[in-house]
Amino acid sequence: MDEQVVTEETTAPEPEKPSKDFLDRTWDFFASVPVAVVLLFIVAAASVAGTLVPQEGMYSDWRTPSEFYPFRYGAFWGNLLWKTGMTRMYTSWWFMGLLFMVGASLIICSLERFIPLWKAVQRPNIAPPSSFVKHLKNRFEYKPVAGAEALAPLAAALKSAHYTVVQKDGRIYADKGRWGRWGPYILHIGLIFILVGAMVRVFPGAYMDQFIWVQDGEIAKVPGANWFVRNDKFTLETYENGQPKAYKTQAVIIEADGTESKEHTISMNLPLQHKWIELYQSSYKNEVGTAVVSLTDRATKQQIGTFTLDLHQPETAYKVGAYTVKINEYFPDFGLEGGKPVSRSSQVNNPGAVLEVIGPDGKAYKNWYFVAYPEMEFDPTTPVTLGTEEVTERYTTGLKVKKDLGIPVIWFGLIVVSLSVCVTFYLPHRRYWALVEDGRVFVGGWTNRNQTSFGDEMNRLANRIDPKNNPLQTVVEGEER
Amino acid sequence: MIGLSGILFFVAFGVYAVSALLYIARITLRRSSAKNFTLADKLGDWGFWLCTAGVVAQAAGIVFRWVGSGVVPMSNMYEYMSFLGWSVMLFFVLISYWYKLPGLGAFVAPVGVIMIAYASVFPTEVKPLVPVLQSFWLPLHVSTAALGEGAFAVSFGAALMYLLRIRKDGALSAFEEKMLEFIGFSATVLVGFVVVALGSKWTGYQAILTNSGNGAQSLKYTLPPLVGPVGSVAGEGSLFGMDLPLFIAPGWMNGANAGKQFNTLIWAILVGAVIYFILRILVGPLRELGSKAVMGMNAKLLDEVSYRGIAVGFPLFTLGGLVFAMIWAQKAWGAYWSWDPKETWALISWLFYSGYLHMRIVRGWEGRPAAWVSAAGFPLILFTLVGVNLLISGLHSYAAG
Ligand code: HEM
Repeated sequence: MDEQVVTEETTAPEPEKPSKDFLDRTWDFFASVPVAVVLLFIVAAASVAGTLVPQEGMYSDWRTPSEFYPFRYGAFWGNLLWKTGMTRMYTSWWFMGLLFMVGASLIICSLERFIPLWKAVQRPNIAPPSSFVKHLKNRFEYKPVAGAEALAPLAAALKSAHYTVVQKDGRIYADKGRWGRWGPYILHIGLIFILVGAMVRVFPGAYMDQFIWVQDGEIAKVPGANWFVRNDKFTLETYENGQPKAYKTQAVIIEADGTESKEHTISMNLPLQHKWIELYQSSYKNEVGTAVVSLTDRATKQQIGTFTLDLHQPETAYKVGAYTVKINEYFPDFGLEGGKPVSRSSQVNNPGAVLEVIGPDGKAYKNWYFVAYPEMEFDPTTPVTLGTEEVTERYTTGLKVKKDLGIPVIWFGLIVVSLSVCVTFYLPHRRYWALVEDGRVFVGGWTNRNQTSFGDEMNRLANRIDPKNNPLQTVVEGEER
Repeated sequence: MIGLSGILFFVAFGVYAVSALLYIARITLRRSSAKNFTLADKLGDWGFWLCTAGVVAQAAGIVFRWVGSGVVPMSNMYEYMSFLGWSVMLFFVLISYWYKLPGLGAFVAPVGVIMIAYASVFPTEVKPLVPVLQSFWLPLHVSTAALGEGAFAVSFGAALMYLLRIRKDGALSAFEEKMLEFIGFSATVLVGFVVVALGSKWTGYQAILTNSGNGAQSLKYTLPPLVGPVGSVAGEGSLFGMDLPLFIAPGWMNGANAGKQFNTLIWAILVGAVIYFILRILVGPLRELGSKAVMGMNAKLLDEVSYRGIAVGFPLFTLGGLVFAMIWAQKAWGAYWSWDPKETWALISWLFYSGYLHMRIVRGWEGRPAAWVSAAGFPLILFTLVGVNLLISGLHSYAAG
């Protein structure tokens, strides 16, 4: 940046007060760009530390944090890391403190410089001292054609290059790309929106991160909401090589009054959104669902018939033709404990049942039946044998339930940041001043970015107005490139 | 289509390599005698046109691969690294054209060449995308970030040139001199890394070692195991009849792959050190060589070019590395930010570069100190891309190839 313009434009003239109180000094501290630079580097360094120490909840070990860190780093260092919050870096009070300081610095620095900059950009000094114009780094002179209006060709050329041209008292001021100067300020505002958006979650009810399992065909209450979700069907698609291709849940939203208000297929990257809550496809599990059981006459080996046994909630009895099958006992996860049959869990892992088959003659026979091992009979003399024809699978989808009222604020901040960062760097502010002295026109220019291409523009401009005195420069002679 | 794309990739690679050599020859000739200036500049022009042609060819290759596979070619390390190399070359071509600064070529073109050579280490087949990667935010996020990083690479080259230029004026402290030499050494280690990786790919070397680190029972080494994983014993691998591993990784390296990565690092440093010492014997300290190359260049211009690289790259990196990344993370995981190591390192780089930008508006910090930040910035980016995958794992570990 050109020094003179810096002093003219962006430094707030601040008379040194004899004594400053604490507040003033704090303000000055945060108003300083060097302080901001140092803060940015400190936040960067602190973030590095957080990726080197495995963070709580991220390490793969069964130990609790208070045991894990001393185990991993030795008693002294482990406890030090844990006590100072290095192990939950990004939520620790001092990381928050740093971010808070960055925010303060951002706001105060911007406030401090905004008004002087506003004046300099929106109400520029059209007639600065001629020495100012003549000492700008980018400048040229031309000799006006006798009898013509001296500044007219320059004004015309600048206008055709889309400059805003002000002509007053024999002076020209022209500029373009003013928005480029506001870019950093808008960018900082965008960053503040992002910080604020991230903090919204501290308000009660603004944030929720839960998880639900919903079996195919089942309805589950969505935590934190007064509506429900039904999983019509979970599908797992795979590529030919067996690699997963898609996880999908056909979901239906059911309101408290029972109406179905929305249908959506949730898949990776396509969450379902309903009333500020989003449901994300995040896991699944796969269990046996039903078994088709066949009854066969032991003597003739003729099949008598089949029935479909629900392995999650079996009926008490099934009818197969003239036969009745009663479920006397059911163990979804069969095992033996002290010689006694038990169900190790309520999951359908190894379903086993004691069935009572009642024939047309009214006689009843009891036998064990295991879905996975139908040949394991305890009584090989019953007139009817049991077999497993088919086992269907039942999927359970795992949905992440997420609510974050800060998201719209974050999105807005991201849009602002995206636009303003482009404006800041791709829209240079370019300004020209011109004055007539001793029958010559002196033109000076200034830009905040891309000095070289501005120099080229100026050179072409000068050459267009007065080719004789301003030859087109190509490569700088005598300089190594 | 995909075959054609592969051919174009190698054509581009060859062309870049030749053009980097031409640029180096240009500088060498110019330093030898004023008689050679015309020839030297002709070589420089050739270098520029070749580079441009390479950029076009590689761009076509990327498009063909996209059309041929139906998947945006931005989802594995091969595709990503070659895109990054392309973007380095693209911004090199643009910036050296804007500033008419062919001298940049001797410093930046080799960076692109190394990057593309590194890309070719990874398997090139098109793999179907796992569900989380099936989002158009992925190619958007990755390509925009890579474009920004390409521009940062150009800034890095120019910043080095600036520092090499001003050291002749005695502007650098003894420590800074050492740092410059260290950057030169690190560059040879990177070259060593790529040489080692390519060597193992071409020779197909393999050794299976016992591994008692987390997760796996045995470990396949594609480099001769100087260092074995925890649990291995000498004699499980060999090189020219020598029993390997020579020693076993220390016990705290208990990650599943830690021993192997440590071994790769040692090989890279060994090969890099050999290259470095050969160069050092042939041409003296690398910083002297570099200073000779930039002799007579305009320091202010180099400084501006280095700033311009960041000014062009920063918005792209902000969009790609942060904005699109956050949007995608929110869509895929329901969390726009989860302090995953890769994410965090992208944030670190971004904060670092925004530190650079603010330094430029502080009087006294805008020249030499800022140049150091830019020179350190690109290694930081490389660490984010490669180092984090190798050393720290996280959600992005798919990129480990
Ligand atoms: C520590 C807090 C920060 C403070 C106090 C601060 C302050 C400033 C100031 C005073 C300017 C100069 C504006 C002008 O030219 O009129 C500026 C420019 C800028 N700031 Fe910040 N800033 C901070 C954080 C950030 C962060 C985190 C970013 C991240 C992207 C950022 C991005 C920028 C950019 C891109 C510019 C334009 C730089 C240029 O003109 O080359 N700032 N900042």
